[in-house]
Amino acid sequence: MFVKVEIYAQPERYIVRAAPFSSRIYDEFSPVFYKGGIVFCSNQSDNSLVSFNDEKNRLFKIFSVTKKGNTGWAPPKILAKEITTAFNDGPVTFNEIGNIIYYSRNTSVENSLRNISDTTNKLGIFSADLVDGIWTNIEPFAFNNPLYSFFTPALTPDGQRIYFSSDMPGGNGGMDLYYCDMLNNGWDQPVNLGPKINTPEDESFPFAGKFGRLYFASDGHDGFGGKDLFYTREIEGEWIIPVHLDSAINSAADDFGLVTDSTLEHGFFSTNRRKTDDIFSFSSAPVEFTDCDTIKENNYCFTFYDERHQIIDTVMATYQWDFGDGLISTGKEVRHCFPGPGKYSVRLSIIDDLTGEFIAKQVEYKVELENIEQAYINSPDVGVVDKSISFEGLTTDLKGLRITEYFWDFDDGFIPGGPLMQTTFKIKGEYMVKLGLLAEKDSLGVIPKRCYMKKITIN
Amino acid sequence: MKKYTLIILFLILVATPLFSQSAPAVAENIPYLMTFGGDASTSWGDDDFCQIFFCVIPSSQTGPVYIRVYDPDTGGALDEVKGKFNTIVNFSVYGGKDCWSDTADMVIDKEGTYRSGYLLTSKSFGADLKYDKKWYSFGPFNPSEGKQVERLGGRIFKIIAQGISGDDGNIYKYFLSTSPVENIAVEGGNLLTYKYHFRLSDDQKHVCQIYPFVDDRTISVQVSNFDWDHDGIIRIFSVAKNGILCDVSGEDNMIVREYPIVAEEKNSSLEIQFIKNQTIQINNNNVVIAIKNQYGISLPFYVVPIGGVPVYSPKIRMK
Repeated sequence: MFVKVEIYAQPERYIVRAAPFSSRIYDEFSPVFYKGGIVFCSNQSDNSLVSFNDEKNRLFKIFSVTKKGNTGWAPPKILAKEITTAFNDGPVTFNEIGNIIYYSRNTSVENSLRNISDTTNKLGIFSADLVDGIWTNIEPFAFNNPLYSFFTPALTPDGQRIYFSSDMPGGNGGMDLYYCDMLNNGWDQPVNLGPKINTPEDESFPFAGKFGRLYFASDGHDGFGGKDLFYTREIEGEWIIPVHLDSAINSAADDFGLVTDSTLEHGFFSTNRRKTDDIFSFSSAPVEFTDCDTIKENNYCFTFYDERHQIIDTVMATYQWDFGDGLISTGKEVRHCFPGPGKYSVRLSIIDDLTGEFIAKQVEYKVELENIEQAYINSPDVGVVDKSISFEGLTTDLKGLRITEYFWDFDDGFIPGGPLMQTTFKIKGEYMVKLGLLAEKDSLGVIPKRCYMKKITIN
Repeated sequence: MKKYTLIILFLILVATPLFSQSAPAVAENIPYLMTFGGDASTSWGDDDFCQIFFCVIPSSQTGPVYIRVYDPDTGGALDEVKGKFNTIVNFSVYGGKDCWSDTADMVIDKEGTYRSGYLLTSKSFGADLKYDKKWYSFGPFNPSEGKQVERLGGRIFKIIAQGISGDDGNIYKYFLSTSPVENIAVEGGNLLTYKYHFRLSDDQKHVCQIYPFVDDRTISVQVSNFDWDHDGIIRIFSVAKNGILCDVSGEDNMIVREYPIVAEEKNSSLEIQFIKNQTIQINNNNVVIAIKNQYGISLPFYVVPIGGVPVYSPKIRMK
């Protein structure tokens, strides 16, 4: 079964750039976060390798890189000799506290069997425990099979599930994504993610993010070409149709091996858009909202009059206005306040004061009141220094828009947030609080953007 | 456009409800018409001693018609005496192709060709008890003797009441009838005049109204009234006017004021309302009123208002 996905034609919301530790000569891919740094696969040379040095055959090893200073990175180095083989190692995944590693490598690692071009040496998944700084207790994954590949493992943050890719029989063709759940301190039988996710082409490089998102690469789902990155989520046992990530991350080249924070604001991914495999960083571009509208008060009070009466001077007539809510006003111009939006009927009778007869009787005027099409910032208008103020942006009269993202500017720049926010102002004064909204894309694929602002006085 | 207008007018005429064809009409609440003798003072309310009415006989009426005059003589309790009754008033009925002209202005001007048409009958009345408070019938007239006017929906006769001599006021009224001895309305008939001379009711509670028809060429009207004697107020109502006050004339003078006509008022009737002075009792008040459009063409007052009595339709707005 082949499932199509829609391609977002939304403006690019990410800034991407090659990671400083990613070279132009060698391949680097599949980054994962580890103890404040990054662990990734690369075929770059490393002098610490003692077993052999085979640049020609581009064997992949597991490297780690740590931050240096605020913005720099130290040179990459092999993560650990004890899990480095003479064959291909990686990619890897760690448990939350970083003392368990799952990684893929060639299943047979005896030197006598070393032949890079030997495609019968399949990839398998292995695990190791970090004890006293040494990765020990290296164990093969229970379902490794020398006839098939098992690779790109990815643990969920709680460590209770592991995703991986395999070409074992029973799938949908090519590499398929599977998972195993933890059961009695061991991994239960592999489960294929099914045809919504797995296509006849390859699905691989899973990454289990927080809050249930599963990122993966596929060259079977519709995308920009080659491997593209998607995410899905399991809801009540069903996988949602994969969502194609933004164009800045995906490209016509292969894009795969992504790792991100919980909100997909910052992270790294792998791509060969520069010919070799490289690791790129991404960060969400600041969403700009300009020309914010001041929130207007809805007006339900109006003055009613007889326009013809304005043209000519009349005398001796009583204008009687019946607003249908029990209120009757008299006067050539009367002001009436309706309770809120809705349809109302106003009836005017004009009584001749001289004859007592009706000049006009129960002439009807239909009134339909609608709220101004806008969103609202519900909050106190006045606050106190150092005292938290709540803001609510849930209430909107925006027709046909389903709000998906909220951004707030408490006079210090827009930040992503939810519909409910709290903030504290440190200095007295007047602040213009702004609420930026992104909505579901329209029929043209454009994401509607709205912005509203409200003045808050802090005493 | 002209054809369109004619069709509209014809439809309006056809759609008009049946009223009794008396002039003044019962709905007008005007008791009588008036014409003073030719030697009278205009200060008594008649500016030209001549009243011209047109009778519209619908094409469907093939039988004879009669123009009946109530109290045609000038004498007795009803008429207005100045000293001794000495007044002769002539009533003449005209038919034929020249009895009505589209440029109706001429019918007001006493110096003009107001007696145009073929004289069908004529009779002068002095003080004669034989006719006092009684009906006199002119006719019979074969409708074909009138002038065929398509836009008015039938044939037209003209009746002129003119004070020949004397200074008393003849107070009378008309009825367009199919019978010489009783008032039987001509179905679909109407009467109209371009200058209305009438006697107001003495009852202060009575509100009198007359109905000039505004055609589609009219963009403004000049309302003139003569010798109103400040007997209350005059107001104009229409679908778009809710009681605009008219300037009123004093003793023996004519006053003219112009009022704009809006689109909704075209091809409909105005209502000119006369409300008597509620504080001072004024009796025997005689009034002359005429309306011209911006070209100086007189607009007709129909005793059966074309399109029905206008009802003001307010244009409600909110701000």
